[in-house]
Amino acid sequence: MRVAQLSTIFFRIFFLFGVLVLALTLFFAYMAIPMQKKAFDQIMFTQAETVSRSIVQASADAIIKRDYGFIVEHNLEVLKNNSSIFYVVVSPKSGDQVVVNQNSWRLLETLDPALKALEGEQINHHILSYDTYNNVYHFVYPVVFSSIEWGWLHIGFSNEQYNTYISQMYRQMLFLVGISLFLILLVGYFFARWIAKPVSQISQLATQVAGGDLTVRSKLQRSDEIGLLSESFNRMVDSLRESKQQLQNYNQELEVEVLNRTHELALLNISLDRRVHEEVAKSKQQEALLIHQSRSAAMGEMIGAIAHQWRQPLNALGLVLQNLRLRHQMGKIDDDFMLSSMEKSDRLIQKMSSTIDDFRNFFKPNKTIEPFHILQVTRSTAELLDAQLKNHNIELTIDCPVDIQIFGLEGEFSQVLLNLINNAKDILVERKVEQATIGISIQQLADDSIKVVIKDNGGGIPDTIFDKIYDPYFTTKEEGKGTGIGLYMSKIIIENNMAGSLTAFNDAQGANFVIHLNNKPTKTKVASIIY
Amino acid sequence: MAILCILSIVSNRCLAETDTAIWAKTRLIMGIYSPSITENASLSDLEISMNFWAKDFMTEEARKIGIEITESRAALFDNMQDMHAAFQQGELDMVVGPPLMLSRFFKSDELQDGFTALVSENRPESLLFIARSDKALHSIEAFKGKHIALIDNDELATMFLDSLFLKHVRQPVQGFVGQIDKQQKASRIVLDVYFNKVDGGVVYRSAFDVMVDLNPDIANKIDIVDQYPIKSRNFSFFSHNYPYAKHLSTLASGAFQSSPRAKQILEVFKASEIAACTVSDLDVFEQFYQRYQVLKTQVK
Repeated sequence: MRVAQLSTIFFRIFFLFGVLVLALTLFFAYMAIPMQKKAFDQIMFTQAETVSRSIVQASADAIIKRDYGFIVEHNLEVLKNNSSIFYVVVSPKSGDQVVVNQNSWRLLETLDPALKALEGEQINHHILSYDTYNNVYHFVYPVVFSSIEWGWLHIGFSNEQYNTYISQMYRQMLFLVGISLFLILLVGYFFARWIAKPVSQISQLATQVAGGDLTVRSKLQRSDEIGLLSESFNRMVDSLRESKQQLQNYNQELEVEVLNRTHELALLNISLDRRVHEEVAKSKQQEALLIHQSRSAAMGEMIGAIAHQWRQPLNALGLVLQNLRLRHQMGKIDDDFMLSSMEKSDRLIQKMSSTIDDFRNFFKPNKTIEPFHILQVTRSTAELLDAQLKNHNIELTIDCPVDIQIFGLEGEFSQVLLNLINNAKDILVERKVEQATIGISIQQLADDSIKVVIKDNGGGIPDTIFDKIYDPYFTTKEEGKGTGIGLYMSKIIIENNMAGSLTAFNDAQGANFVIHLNNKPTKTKVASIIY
Repeated sequence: MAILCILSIVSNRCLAETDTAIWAKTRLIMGIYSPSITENASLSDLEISMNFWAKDFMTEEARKIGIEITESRAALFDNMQDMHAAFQQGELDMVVGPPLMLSRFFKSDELQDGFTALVSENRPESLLFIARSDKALHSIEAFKGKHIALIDNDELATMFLDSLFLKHVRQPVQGFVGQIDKQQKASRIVLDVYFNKVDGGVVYRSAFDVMVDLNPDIANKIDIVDQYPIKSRNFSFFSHNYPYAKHLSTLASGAFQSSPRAKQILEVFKASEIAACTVSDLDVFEQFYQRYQVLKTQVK
């Protein structure tokens, strides 16, 4: 991994050092410039005050005596010897004012108002332009003798010296900043290099170590933390080399061990494969057996149902035949009776034939999901069991507001209904429930799904077996009456083959089995059907 | 005048051109009568100028033409008698002083030609007797009982004023006028007259012109009652046995024409040019002095 130029320790230290020094320098300049300016102001003020006091002291007698000759002569001499003074204005409270400058002198009748405004009890100074001189440090010095204010002395000083001071100061500051920058670059570079170089060297060595080269060694010899780091690095590399050697040894041992284990696993895998195949075959056999049993059970159930269905027409057919024989013996067989008996017999036979058709339809191997009318299928299924239910005085009601068309496996759905009605019938019979009822309610929910509830009043499923009712071969029926695969197969059909759900719960009357179907057409071709 | 001395040193260059061999080693010591020059230049100015010109500039310039000046300095005297004594003892190679004083203390055969500084070629130096114009002092007689001012230690000015009064009113000024003040500088006398502190006074034209330049109103308020031309306030002459006088004279004129530094020093002393002078120029002042003595005798 390469470290970005701006992220290197060298750059950061260099940058930090530079910023600190530069900040300190600028702070110093920021603080020093106003102080220097103030000091220069003070120098100017002191100079001006000294000159003013000197002039006043030298001219004291002349001022008092109004000896203008001396005043002019003295000030001409002062100006001659001091080129930084542009002019002197002697402004008595009363009388003529005298202006003396480097080139001339003259009397004034009135003083310039701008200068007059500066006259007061205290020393005053101002930067102004006067008497052809611009940007003058104009100093006003009150002339007082024995507490009597005689007038004022106005002196115009050149700002050149002040400006020179300021220029020099700025030059010095610039020089200082320049020197600082130079020092930043020079000292900062070496300082940052001194700090960063060993770290960089160790970093490069570490990179080599990371690349797998454990022969590198740090040659840094210092008595500070860097030296300690160097020693620690070397120890670390030594330790890594030893560890690597140990790892290589362990690796070799492990490789041997892995080879052994791999061989064992291969043998084990062969064994497992064989056992898996065996188990799969067994499972298939069991499944086939289960299907067969289920089929047989269903057929048994259906045969029972057919037997019940046929019992009544057979009896009726027998009675018809018995009447025919009696009528024949009595010689009272006429055409009408014969015709009536034949029609009655045909009807009975037709009914029985219809039962066979129902049976055949029930077992028709339809493995394609197709639309069918759920009410019709429910009624057909119920009719198969109608005789048995009536035989046990069990009332079956179907509550379906409209004949809903759903998508699914009609025959299998019918088998599920048959199982659930049969189970309900069996428990009602077993528990000898008076006014036994089985109710089938069919609802189309808001999401178009179908909810079918098969409810009985047989007292419900005991809690102790509730979790086992869907287990294969689990039954509470007497031996020979139940196979224990009905509910298991019903759940498989609903959930696997029709993408629905089969659940159960108890209410106050008995058990409720709820079939929930999504009722959406799918192109699923059921590959594995129970039959 | 001090400048003249310095300039005299500068003139060595010309001398060197004519006869380099004899100028291998030389000296130039000037005697300066200080009371006559301190009005135009302070002693400190004079000292600085002398140090610069005589010791640095001159030595350097002379060396360029192969002359080694071994000694160059100025000696200030506030007494003409002492300066003359030093001159006679050979301590001075050149003397600078007011012409009247030089004519009185030095014999003409003790000196040889030298230099003088002119304020202006067109307007030679003069002594002026000035008065306030608003006091109607147009004649000497009008100064009866008036207050006048004179330059202190200036015998020529005193003699000029006294001569005027002796000539016109047949009385010495002392006693005719009311009061005579002595001032160190002529410019101060001009100011005193302008500010009406005195009624009149004797000043040099150069000082008067400078004051008029500084304040032109002075010319309106002051009248010139009488005047006496004197060419220059101070003259410089070489010792009669100083062998390089003529060469220095030539060199001095040339140096002050060409050297910017020389012109600067002239400005300090309010002079504009250097002119040669002869010992015979002193005769005028000697004659004037003699006439004055005659007038005094006549009045007595």
